[in-house]
Amino acid sequence: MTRPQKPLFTMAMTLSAVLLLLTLPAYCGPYLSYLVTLALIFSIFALAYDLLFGHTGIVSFGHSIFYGMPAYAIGMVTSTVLNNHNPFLVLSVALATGLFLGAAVGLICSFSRGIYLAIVTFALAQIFELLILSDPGGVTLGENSITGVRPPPFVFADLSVNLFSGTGLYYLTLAFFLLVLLGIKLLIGSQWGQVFHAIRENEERLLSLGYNTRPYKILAFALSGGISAIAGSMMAFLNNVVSPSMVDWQIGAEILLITVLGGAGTLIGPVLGAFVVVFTQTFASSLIGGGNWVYVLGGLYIVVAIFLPGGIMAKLSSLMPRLFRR
Amino acid sequence: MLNVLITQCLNGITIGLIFALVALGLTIVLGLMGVLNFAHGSFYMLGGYITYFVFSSVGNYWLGLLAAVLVCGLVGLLLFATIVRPLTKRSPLEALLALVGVSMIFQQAARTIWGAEPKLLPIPFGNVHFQGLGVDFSYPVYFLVAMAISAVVLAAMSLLFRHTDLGIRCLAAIQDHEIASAMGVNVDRISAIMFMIGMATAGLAGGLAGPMFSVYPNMGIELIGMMFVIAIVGGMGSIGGTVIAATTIAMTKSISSIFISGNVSDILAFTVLLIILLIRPRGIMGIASVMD
Repeated sequence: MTRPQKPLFTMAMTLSAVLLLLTLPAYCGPYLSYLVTLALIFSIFALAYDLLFGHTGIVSFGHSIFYGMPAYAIGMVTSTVLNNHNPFLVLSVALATGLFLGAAVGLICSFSRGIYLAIVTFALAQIFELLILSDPGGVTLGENSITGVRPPPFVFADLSVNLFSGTGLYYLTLAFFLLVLLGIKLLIGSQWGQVFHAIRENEERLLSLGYNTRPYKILAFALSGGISAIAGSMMAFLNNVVSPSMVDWQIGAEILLITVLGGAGTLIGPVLGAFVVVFTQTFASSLIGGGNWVYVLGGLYIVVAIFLPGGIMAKLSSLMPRLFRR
Repeated sequence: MLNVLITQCLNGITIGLIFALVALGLTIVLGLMGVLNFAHGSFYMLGGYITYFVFSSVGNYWLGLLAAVLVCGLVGLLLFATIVRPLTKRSPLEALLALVGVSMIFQQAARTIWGAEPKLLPIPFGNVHFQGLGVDFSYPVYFLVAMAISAVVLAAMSLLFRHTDLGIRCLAAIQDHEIASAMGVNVDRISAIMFMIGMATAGLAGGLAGPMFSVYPNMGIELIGMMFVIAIVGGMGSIGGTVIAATTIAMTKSISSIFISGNVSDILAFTVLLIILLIRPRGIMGIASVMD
């Protein structure tokens, strides 16, 4: 799908993008920083989704589980069950929840395939959402959201660093984003990544060659779940709230759309998709009142599907080398 | 207790058959074209609104129902020609992307035209009273009529699939596109007809459900998730399986709602569907199809 690009060009683009992101809060207002944080969170989520979808060829309709449940785990640790705001505890509980649920859902899903698997993930997502809404033991607060989930700032002597709101959270999210991007790039180049691609291309052949694909599918689910958990946690910190909309199946469908829109299996595609959707949504809703921004986003989905086969990235990567060639 | 149980059973059957009407089109379109039609819920909603619109301007509910079927069928054909057919051949997932866009626009359009608050349709006919054999309860006649209409349409579809040339060609195309095409089946034409029928039945279901649950912009999107699960659990291209899956879920919901809260009964319903799907990976009566 992607044409080979000049390594120098790719390196220059990457470096300038990273520099731009690193220096952004210096010349942007808090609102734009907030939006970019939001876009970075969705980028992490989309990268997690694409690991399973674009790279392993598994369509999931249940990623709301791996995004929302870790956020609820944070809500329980900080508020409803433990009332403990230790940032290391909070983050590791969220990560563990994502990895564990990823592996568990992966195990259940490894018994079916294709559209059937997608529907299994979907039914599971519905069950988790209903579980949160039914408020078992008073730990999820049902329809009400859990508020006040941010860990306090770090204090060294008389210097206080707040990593969980505003600019601090921006840099924390950016750090996680770069880590995830690099991690997925390395993973895809590794032997595990090759097995993932092989499962995507032809699982039957792997099976008939005597490979057991099940552990790899579970691994892909677990990693995707763990990375989604990072996105869910950052979202919980960003708004300082964990709400039932985070486990709603529609957020899982949205991340699928973002990935398809940007270009599945292209590493940068899902990131582009996340930025395009977040900024389209924000600008359309500030320009057009009364919920009519939905027309713009709906129209965008239709236009991209009809005119940009393979997503935005496929078009860009076929356009870019031509732009910079003399 | 017995009275409540019987009432809930009747509710379960009525709602189950309406669910089956909605899921029917979904499963045929999925089997034939390999695309999860996300806009399906919008046609259910559109059917409800057309019925409401005709009822509020002419005053006849049944005329509204007829208009809903016709308008949904025509809009369905238009959608098929402009978006579904060109995109499904290229990539079913990009078709899904476009269909989500269509569904968002439909929903917002309904909100713009008719407003966000639910529109109430009066329930036609009165109640019928059952007494004797140890039971004593009254039940709205309209629910029984809706049950009968759904059953007749489902039976007609089932006959269409078993005994007409069109239906048999359609089943052949669901099982294997290429071989069916090679044997002279015009898959494009069959897809167009089936998409239109699917949207018309979704519109009918929306019109029938209108007096029961009222008509509101989110009625489609709230239902579509459960419909995806029913369509798959029933089995691709199987009307019998779809009816079994739909009534199972509706009965589980309505009977368990006597004893437990709504959310928990929904959890139970989804768990039942999930277990069926794990035991029978191709659905209750699924056949090998293009989706394998």
